[in-house]
Amino acid sequence: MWGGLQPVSGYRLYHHTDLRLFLGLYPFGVLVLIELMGLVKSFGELQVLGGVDLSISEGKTVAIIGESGCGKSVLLKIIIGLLKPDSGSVLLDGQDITKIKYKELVEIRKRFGMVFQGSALFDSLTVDENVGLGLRRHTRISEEEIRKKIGWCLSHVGLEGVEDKYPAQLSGGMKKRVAFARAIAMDPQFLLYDEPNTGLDPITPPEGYTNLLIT
Amino acid sequence: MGGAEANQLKGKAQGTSGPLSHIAMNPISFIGKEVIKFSFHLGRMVKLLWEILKAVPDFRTYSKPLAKQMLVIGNRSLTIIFFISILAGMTVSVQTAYNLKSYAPLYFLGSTMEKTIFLEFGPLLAAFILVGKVGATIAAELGTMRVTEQIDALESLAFNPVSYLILPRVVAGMIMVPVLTIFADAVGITAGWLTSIAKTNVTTRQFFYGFKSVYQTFDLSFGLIKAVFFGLTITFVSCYEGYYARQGAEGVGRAATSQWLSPLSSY
Ligand SMILES: Nc1ncnc2c1ncn2[C@@H]1O[C@H](COP(=O)(O)OP(=O)(O)OP(=O)(O)O)[C@@H](O)[C@H]1O
Ligand SMILES: [Mg+2]
Repeated sequence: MWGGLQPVSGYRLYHHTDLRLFLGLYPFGVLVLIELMGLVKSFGELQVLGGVDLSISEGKTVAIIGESGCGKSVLLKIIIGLLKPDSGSVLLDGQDITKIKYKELVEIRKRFGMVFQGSALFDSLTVDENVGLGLRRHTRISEEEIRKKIGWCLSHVGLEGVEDKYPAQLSGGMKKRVAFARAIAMDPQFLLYDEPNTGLDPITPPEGYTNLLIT
Repeated sequence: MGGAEANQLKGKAQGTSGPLSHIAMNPISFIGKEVIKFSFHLGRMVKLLWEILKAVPDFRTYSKPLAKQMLVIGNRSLTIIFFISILAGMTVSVQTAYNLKSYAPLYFLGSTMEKTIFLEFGPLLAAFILVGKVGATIAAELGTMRVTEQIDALESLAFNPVSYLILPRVVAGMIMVPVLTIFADAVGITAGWLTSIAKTNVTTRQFFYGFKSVYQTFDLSFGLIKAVFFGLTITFVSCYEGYYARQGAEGVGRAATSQWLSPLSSY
């Protein structure tokens, strides 16, 4: 089922050369940003991923479809380094993020935004604090700017005036949309979106992201 | 796990019921399993402790939650520590007075009060309340965050969960238990003093003469050092249980009522 998802896998050879780093480009003008190679992941006896190859190019939206329990969420967690694959690699800018130090991994995660399947909002924080958590920690922009940004992110998903509510006061779809707002708050280069359909209203991601949508 | 349960079931079926039957059946494998389990937990705890130490420079991440956790601990325990300290002070005073009667001068009341409250009761009460009121909450809180993927979400936002979740709770415990200990000391001694002058013939002057005659800075500082370690162990073990919670809501419950927390609470 992963077979159809390797648009440029024929150029795998280039990953092992420095040429790619000089040019940053593949032949035919496709810039591959994330490349998964032979990912294998098992939980005990259960093999969830059996050698996944996938290339994600700049500005492309890739959707991965599969039956329930086939390992889509696991794949996303491996891409962002929350789970370690048993073998295989996740290449980002030619760097294998499954093998780098924790500090570097944290830096790389700043380029990602992830919407979890179950939203995973922090239930001790308000919507405002949830969306602004990354901004307040990782940037030095003023509180006023941060509030503006939070407002922008929330209005993007059609939510207004919920800043001071706690996640428990929101509906499931609203939670999912707040989670989306949280994921785009830091202007990530990549957006990983687990089950985009459960947000009820279709949400259009802002322009210019490399998206990885998971259904 | 499954094996042990199966063993127990088998034991029941054969009429040799009781939780110890499988130990008798195969003591060596039982001891081996326990040793492996123990070393596994010990190793993971040491690793977590090391990660907490490494997170210390990450002040920007933990400053806010640290303040919050200190307030939480204070809010949860202040009232109950107040009442229990009064009880402790009164009890020590009444019991000591009863035992001293006609054997020793009554100013010994002050001396006993100083030693028992500063060295033992103060830190112990504060720690007790922390286990009961805060320890289980921490384990349940972090356990819930683990199973609802909030800890994963935190990591996806480029946070170090140890800096953001664990370090503030552990440090808040290490700061707040001594603070609460001083509070318990003050309340306990005041209650003991008031009870003494109300219930016995001792005067305030005599009471504090006895108090001062045995007072050493060591008493207070040793009590506080104890308190720091109580704060560290209680919050650390609670965090450990919650942080590594697994398997849904059941795992959260198991974390919150874990075997590690109960022996501590009986100290
Ligand atoms: N932490 C884990 N420990 C053990 N098994 C796991 C773990 N996480 C996932 N699994 C197993 O891996 C498989 C894939 O899980 P995953 O969550 O990726 O499915 P999914 O494709 O996202 O399904 P759905 O569409 O229902 O969300 C499942 O069979 C699940 O039981
Ligand atoms: Mg899933």
